Amino acid sequence: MQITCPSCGNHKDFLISLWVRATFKINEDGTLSILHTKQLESIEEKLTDQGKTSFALTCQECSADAKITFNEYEKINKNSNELSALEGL
Amino acid sequence: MRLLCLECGNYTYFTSEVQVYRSVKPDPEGLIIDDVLMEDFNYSDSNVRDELRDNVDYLLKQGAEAMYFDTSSGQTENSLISCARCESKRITPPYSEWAPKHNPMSLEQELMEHKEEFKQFRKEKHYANHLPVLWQP
Repeated sequence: MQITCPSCGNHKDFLISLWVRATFKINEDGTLSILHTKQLESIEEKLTDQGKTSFALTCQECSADAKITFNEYEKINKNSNELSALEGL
Repeated sequence: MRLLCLECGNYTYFTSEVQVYRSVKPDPEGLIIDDVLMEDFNYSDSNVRDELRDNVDYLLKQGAEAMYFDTSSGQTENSLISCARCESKRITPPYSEWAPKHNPMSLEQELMEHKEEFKQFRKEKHYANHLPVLWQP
């Protein structure tokens, strides 16, 4: 998997936002204490959905939408397959 | 008591949906998912706390105006906070929050009491915007 930022070229640090349900307690003095958080979204689903219906993964440096390539060797494999097919002919 | 569930009377435990930001770092072995750490603070942690505080403060500030009528349930609900005990969305600040405050003096009396202080302040404001003038006999 390869993740890059098309704007600034960053390929190291990215941000993803996820909805969580927080259970909290209101103390006597008005402060809040968080008791539990439950993740409501799957990171895997959001990553595979990136660029198709929404953009969840953003660049940490410039906040642009990141581009995910799940199999960066796909193109190389395709080219080598075509080449070997031509050689076979 | 800040918030009250109209269904079960709970005024302590609530739930709210907030967004949390996670750091994603590509690695040869896969993706490393971690908290977003800035120079001197944890952004993931502080963002959850801030959003939660915002939701509670909004409901406290707006009171009944944050409620809407849900046609499916036929009840007045809010969209931000629900009860952790019975999962009801009928959460409001208690009635006592809206009780009129009994002030020790009327507004007119308070204005008269601070009249001299305000005059002094107005002088300061006037002179602060002007260059000092040398005394002339």
